[in-house]
Amino acid sequence: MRVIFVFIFLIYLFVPDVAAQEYFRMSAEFTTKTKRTSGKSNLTKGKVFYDKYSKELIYDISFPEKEKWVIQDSQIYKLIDDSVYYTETIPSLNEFTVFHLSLNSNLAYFGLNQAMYSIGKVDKMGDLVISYWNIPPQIQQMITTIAVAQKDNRLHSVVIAGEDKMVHSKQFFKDYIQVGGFEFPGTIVQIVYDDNRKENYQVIEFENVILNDTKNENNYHYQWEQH
Amino acid sequence: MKKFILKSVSIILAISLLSAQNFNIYAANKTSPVEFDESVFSFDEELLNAELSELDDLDAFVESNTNVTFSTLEEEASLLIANIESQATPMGMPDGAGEPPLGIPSFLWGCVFGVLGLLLVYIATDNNKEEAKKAMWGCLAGTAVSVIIYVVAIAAVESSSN
Repeated sequence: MRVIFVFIFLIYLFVPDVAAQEYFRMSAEFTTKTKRTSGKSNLTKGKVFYDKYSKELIYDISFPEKEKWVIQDSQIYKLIDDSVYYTETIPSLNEFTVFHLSLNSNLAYFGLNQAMYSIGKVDKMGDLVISYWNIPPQIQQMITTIAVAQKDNRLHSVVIAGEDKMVHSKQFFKDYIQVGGFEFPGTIVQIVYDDNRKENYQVIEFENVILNDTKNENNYHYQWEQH
Repeated sequence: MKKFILKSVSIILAISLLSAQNFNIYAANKTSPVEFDESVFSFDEELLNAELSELDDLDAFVESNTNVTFSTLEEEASLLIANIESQATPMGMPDGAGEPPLGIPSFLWGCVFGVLGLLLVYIATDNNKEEAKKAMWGCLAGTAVSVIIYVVAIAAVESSSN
């Protein structure tokens, strides 16, 4: 009886710790491929680093040229050889990135629930659970639908339709990478339709995801004072 | 007289605000989204692979030649970069490629819909920071107008209660 009690006590002690494992930073190798209807294409490769507390997003790019993009709060800095060649004030949007949403386990609805959107209707189609999100009234004449599809409780796709009830943008999240309790889409495919219903393609692939790396602090926090 | 005019304007603004809120609630209940067919939630992978085949070839070459850059390929007049742009776009389509959602200026998205509009611009323009920046300015302008309306409305309520 005593052994059973101790066993239950130990489970009580350790299981919540496992479930509450917190992921606060991540890095990954990325490849971004875009192909537009104009025929022009783009390939960008490198590593991405993100820390959810500092909300600092760093792209260490290896192709097309070696450079670094540091996105801190409302500033983006582009550097070559640690020398800033471009800077711009931008909205603080890192909290809406797939990195921040994943580290906070908010990717399932692509952060729409965090932005105070509400679900209007839920449907089931095969393996997919589709949620239709209420559109703020002022834009109902311009956007008719935002639909989020989940498969196995993971974000599968986000579809946005316009006033003409035609799909304007489709985004797919696939090849999920699982590390412990952390899940991250290995591939994000986006299809954006132009006025002639032709498709622009964008594919972002991630691999070699590393979580909670505390040994390479400089990769996650750009050290300006050294330069 | 001045006090009377101020009070009248304040009451009109307060009523406008109340009406707008009522309209919002009413309109929110009217939302009837399009219901998509299952095929919408998929895409043609073969077509996508075909469209990206040139990029896949370049990607494979870069993977096997880790120090290669666009410049070195350009110097070699490599055919691998025939239709490839030279600028980096880690977050997606390059600046200028994205347009504001549905052709509506991003400033208006932010002005009318606040943070929601900002998020929408960000998602719909494929993380286009320039468009999102415009939406942010709109968001700030809209917030400023809302604050002014609230202040006037509160002043009207207080002055009418005295």
